[in-house]
Amino acid sequence: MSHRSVNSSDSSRRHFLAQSAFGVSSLALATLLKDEQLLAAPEKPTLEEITYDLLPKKTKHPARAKSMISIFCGGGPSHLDLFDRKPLLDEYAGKRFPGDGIKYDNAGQATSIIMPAPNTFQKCGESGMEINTAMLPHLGKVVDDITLIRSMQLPNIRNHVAGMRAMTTGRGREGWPSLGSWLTYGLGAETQNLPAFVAITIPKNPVGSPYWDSRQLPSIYQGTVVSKTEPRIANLNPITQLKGKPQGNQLDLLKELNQIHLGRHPGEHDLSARIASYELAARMQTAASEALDLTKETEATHKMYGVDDPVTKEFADACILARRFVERGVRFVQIWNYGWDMHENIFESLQRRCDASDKPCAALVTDLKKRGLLDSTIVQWGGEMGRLPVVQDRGAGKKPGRDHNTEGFSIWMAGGGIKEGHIYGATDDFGHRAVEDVVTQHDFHATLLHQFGLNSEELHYDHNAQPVSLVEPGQGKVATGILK
Amino acid sequence: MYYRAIALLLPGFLTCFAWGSSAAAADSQLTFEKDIRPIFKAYCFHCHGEEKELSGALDVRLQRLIMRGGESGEAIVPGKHAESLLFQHVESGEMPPDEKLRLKPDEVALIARWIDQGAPTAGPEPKGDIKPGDFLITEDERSHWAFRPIQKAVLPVVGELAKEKTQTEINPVDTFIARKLKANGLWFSEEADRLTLIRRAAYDLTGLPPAPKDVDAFLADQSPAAYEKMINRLLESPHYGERWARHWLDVAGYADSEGYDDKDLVRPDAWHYRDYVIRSLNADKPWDQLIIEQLAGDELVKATHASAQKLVEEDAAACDMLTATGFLRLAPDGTGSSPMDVALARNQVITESVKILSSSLLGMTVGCAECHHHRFDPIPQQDFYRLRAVIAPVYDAEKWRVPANRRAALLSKEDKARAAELAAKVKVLDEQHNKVKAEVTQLIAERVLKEIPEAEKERAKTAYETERKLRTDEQAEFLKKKYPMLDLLAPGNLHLFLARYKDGDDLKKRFEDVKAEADQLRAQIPQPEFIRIATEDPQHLPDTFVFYRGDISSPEADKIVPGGLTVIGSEAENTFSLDDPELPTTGRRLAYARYLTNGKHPLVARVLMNRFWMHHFGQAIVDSTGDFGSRSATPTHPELLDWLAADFMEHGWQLKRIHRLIMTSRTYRQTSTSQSEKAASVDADNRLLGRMNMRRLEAEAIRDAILAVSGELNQDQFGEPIPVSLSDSGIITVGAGKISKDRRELKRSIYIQVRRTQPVTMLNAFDAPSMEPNCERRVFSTVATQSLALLNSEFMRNQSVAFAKRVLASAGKEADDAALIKTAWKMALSNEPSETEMRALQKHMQLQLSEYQTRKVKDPRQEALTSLCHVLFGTNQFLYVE
Repeated sequence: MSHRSVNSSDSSRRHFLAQSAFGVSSLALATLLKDEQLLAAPEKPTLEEITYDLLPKKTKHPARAKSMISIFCGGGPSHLDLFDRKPLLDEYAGKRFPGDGIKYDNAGQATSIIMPAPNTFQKCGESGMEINTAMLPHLGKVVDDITLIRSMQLPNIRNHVAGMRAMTTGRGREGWPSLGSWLTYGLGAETQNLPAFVAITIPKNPVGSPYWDSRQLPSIYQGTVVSKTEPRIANLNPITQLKGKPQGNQLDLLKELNQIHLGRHPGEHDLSARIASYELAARMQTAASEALDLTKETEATHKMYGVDDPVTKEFADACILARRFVERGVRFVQIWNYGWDMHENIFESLQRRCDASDKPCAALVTDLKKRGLLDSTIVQWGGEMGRLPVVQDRGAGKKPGRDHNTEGFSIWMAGGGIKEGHIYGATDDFGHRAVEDVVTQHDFHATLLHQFGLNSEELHYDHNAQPVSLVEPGQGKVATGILK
Repeated sequence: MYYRAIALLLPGFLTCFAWGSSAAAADSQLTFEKDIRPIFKAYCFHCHGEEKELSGALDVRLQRLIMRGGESGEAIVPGKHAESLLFQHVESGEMPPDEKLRLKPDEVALIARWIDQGAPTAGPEPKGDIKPGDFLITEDERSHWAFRPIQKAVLPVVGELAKEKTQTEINPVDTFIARKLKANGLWFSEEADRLTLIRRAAYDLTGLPPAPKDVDAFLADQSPAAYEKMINRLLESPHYGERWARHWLDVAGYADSEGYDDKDLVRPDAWHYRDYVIRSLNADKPWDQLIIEQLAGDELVKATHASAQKLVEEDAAACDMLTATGFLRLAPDGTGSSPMDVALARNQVITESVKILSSSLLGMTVGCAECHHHRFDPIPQQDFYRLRAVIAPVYDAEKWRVPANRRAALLSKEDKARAAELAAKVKVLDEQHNKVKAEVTQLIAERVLKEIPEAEKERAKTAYETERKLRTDEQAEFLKKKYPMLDLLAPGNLHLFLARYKDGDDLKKRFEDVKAEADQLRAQIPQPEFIRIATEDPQHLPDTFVFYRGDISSPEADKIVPGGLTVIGSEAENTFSLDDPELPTTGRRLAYARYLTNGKHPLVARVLMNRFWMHHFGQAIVDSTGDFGSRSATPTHPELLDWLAADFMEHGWQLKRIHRLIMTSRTYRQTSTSQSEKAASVDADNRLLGRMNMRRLEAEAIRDAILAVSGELNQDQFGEPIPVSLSDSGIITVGAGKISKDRRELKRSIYIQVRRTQPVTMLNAFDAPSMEPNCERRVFSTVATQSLALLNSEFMRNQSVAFAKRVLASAGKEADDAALIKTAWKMALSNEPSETEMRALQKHMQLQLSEYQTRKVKDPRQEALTSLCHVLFGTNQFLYVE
């Protein structure tokens, strides 16, 4: 019989894994092979087979943020009409845009006529941050908790799919791991009872293939979709015949058989890991069902988020859910709301969209703060583009809209060591292009990773023996100006 | 640009540095070549030597060049590091200028010590004028183990082995393994039992569990050759090719969609290549031939753009050779989906193809040299483009052909004849349709004319009957102004006129009926399937240039000649002519493929053999299966790898022979249970193979095994990929939910559509790779989502129900619990449950039975058995192979 105790070797190995964010290398083999005349090869450690898990990892430098909720407003919310007031637009109303370099994604309806924004901007809070309070009255009340970045820019990226890819994976092209996958790969999760990376979709999936894919990273870093309708999480709940006791009996039998099997194969880490993974799965069923159960929230909370109002309910549910996940140790939650693409009738559409989301989003910030979670949770709101200062003309009888603009747009962030009541960066006088303290998607990602204690220059994964990273070296700089 | 910077930051690499330098050299004489050059290569060469312009006129590629100094004067003062400018610059962090590239303190210290020791070299340095920009390869680099010729060492004689068997009976594999075990005070474990052996062999060779009757036959066979016979039987199985093709398709990057962007267009025709691989492996086609066909099948049969279609139609063997070239068409390809930047999209296809080629066959990260010289390996940037020049004629960026135009149609003689026959009939009907329509038009014209006042009738008639183009301005004007109806009347818009007449519908019917008949026949014309092929256009030969920093808008001046890696062999051996006059095509790929398989290439056979070994043992001899370069993992058994690679080539590159050799070894037949305390402490990771490794099945094998055990597996081979679909809840399933009549959804996993953006959830959970562009090695994870899929997915439920029915059918309705359990256990796990296992299983049956009786389900006993069958699929004993 082997003297290797299953438990001790297993736990020590897990411990070791937990310590090393970027894989494990073993020196043991090099010692074993020392006497071998290895041709001319220099002596060096051989890589042990790397295993991947979701246990929490130590970070290079202390982390300011532990988790993140990203509210992804796909389609391109108009920064000009919500966040970035430009008096010059009023002056030029109906006149030709005097600058150049506008790129139209809908060239057939392109005009160069300036369209002013609604005159409902107000300075809010002690910081005096100016936003459109007719559309975002609730955000107006929490501006002193957020940083508004007015200088987002996606270089060489056009249109939605490429833009959403850029914001989530760093590149416009299909086929790269998403931000949530990178965070869970680099950091693991604080809970093993829930998925580490959750994507909540309202009301429909964004166009294009999933933006929560792990791609080259091992599939354990893939985002888990929580949809609006049952089954809210794939494979979470037992089928009818197994609900309740029968599955409990199954798990008991599985454990017993697997333990007997392990007894015949002592020291096989993976076998014991799989036994544990069944227990985890069972706990996950309970934990996720509990997390998804919003009836546990108080009446007051429901009211604060707007669960009681059919206009805000969908968004409110998603925001409360996001908070519940983060509270329970989930690393990254992304709420997907594709519906901000307003080529036509922009002011009414924007008002409707804001009516549905403003209260829940502001409540999320307030609620997290009240619960002491905002310090360690980054909340980020924004899309993949803004809109152009000129009219998009859909033709006679149609109310005007604005075409896409990836050259300059706004997002806001709160918590996790981000400055409060702060405005960062600026677009030009027409709000067309970011010109001051420009933040590209690479800078955005580098900054996020930094707040999580990771270094964007170091976080990488070897795919086909070549490193893949979220931010390509030298491309992203941390936007220190938004950090406390 | 990209690779350079990040690679420097690899923690693993820095560990290597620490090993190679400070630790090893603490008390020894340093040399430039061994200790200092690697540091300079990683941090400094880029500006100080490898670009055409020398920064600060300082070249640090050789000791003698450093001694020359630069603009600022002497770079080093031997013996005095503090006075040496070079040292001062790196110590202060002034150099390198990029603040992300900082030398580690121990590297700086090493440089100081080297200077203090007088800046010595190991030997004489290359003489003559060395120009900036030239790429220097040192002797050390050339003699890296993976670049040395493959040599077949004399088999080690290990006394213990000789005691048991005569020298000729000893399996060569065992001698190498035994020697190293013995040297570390270890020895083989005992042989696994027969059940374990047949399970292990069956999964290894076919990816399926052994059929119960095969298990019985093997157990009953008492002849000494029973084991060999069992292996041979498995090697003859048609499922062998399916299993081993999957391994190759991973590294080749096989997919049924184009990837690149979100459209991820379906490749409806890549599967012929997949089937070619399966068939070739089943036929044990020699791997040298397999490689040549995949790289240059078209050149073997002298096909070109123009002649390929004819060859496909007339010569089945040629068709096969062309199908093989589908290998060169596997990279993600967005050029058929109107990409934003066409030139970039094209370039992407070419570079990804070079990467697939080099990672699959060379095991080198040649892709790193796309933008600059490789930072660690002796791969100059030119090498990437030499390889690119090899495949350039089939990816002509100037005369680009989108994927749909790189195909040849497959149509049987009968279908072709039928197509011609139908087309002729359709043509007649189409003509008739036009004729009738013209007649009706004339009829309408006459009616319209009737309505025209007599005075102008003749004028209108003449104008109308004059062909539109020939009408005088006056005629045209007249019709347009006065009788626009006549002006507009033409067969094309006849329908607008017919509505005016009561008999309009009847008139319409006259010609519409003919059209309907034609359309009906048209739909019956057989549509061809296509193969994706690589062919060249002798009329147009693209030139290849190095792209400065990988930027396609900055080609350098010199034309690049096709060739292999510079570090391997001499120029005469590894450079090929631009155009072979003997062939209608350039012959580049054929020459390159022959060069790779000529038996002398040091990488190809080693890289292949290393992966073959990995698929048998769950671990490779060289752990970094895709990187045999200077940062490769140390081979655990280098001489064994070489011996096998050499033997493989000597005996005609036949893989089945190698399977036999490996699988009949004592090494392979060991039990996976460690019996030795010493082994557990000395070699916990079992790198010396003192026992077999326990391995989890791959994603496809798990699904296939479940289907095989449930009895639902559709064993039909080959054919169109089974489509996948995305459900609302985000699950991607095989088929669209229901099982079709032909049960295609139950075929083996290799036949499931590989949609790059839609990986099947069940397979993805168990680490089926994402093809970006290929997967040279899989990862294995153990996570709760896998358990959830095994516990709760619809697939598992359906298969458990089928499995239970199969058990009942086999054991009979009258069978008691014990009999049912034994039957199920044997089907799933090949053996019999132990007493304790039996007790647990029986208890489960009872518990579930009473639960289901209480719930009043339709057939409580069958439901209980279904539950038990379900559990068996989830056991480690089922998911792992000993």
